[in-house]
Amino acid sequence: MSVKNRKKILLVDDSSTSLLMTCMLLSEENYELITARDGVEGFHNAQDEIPDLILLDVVMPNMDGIETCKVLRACKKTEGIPVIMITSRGGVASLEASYASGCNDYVIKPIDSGELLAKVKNCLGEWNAEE
Amino acid sequence: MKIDRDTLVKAFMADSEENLSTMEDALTLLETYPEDEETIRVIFRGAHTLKGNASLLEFMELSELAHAVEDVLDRMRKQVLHATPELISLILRAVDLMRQMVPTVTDKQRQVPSELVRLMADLARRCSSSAGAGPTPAPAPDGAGAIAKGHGGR
Repeated sequence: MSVKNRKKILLVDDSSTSLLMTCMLLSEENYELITARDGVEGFHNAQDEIPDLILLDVVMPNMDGIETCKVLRACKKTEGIPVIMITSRGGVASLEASYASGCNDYVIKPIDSGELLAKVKNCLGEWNAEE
Repeated sequence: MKIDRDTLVKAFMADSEENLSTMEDALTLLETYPEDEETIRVIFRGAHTLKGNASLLEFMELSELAHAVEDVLDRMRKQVLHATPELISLILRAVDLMRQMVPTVTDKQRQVPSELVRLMADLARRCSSSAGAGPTPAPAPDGAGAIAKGHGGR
């Protein structure tokens, strides 16, 4: 895949450990990875960069993942960008809230690399794409 | 997948120090403003992030302690428990213990601190008492079961 056609993924998480781990998990897939440390920064980056996909942590300062997803969906520039929510095990309430906010899918922490990659590829429509 | 564990552990150490300092500062503030919801949310997020990061790297003793603290703070967020001086002091003890545990997480020879089991039980007891603010909460199931059974040894 040429650099020009690289898919751009925005990772939004307040934990640098978690961000680093996700970057490592996706590092061999030739995606362009950009990051933000909270929902406010994530929303601004999404408007500026128009990524192909957003991975959004739920518990964050300033604006949490649920609110961020709602804001993304309410904004013309970002309303169609797929969102995968990253949530904690046992957070059934946050899963319901995540879907209600308009996310496309979710992964549960600690992230399973195979599951993450499958869901990322699915949201990017890459299953049949020629690499 | 190229997972550089050493780099992740370094990030974890720095993240943990930042989270614990934030929690400590917010707990001090909570002593003065015990009803402040944003301060409680700040402490909750610190415990939540620490739990997730420790779990990510399979530092299970630390993750379970952070989880127990998160459970208490979740009840404080929902106003089931209130920020009494005793409860703030208990959470500060947990923050102190986590600060002691963080530098040792990669030490294969480390021993489970005796304080950990006691603290886990105290936190669980707080969670199980619905009123929560009383000085003599009702006895509760052993909250440190997983650690006592050796699940926290990795």
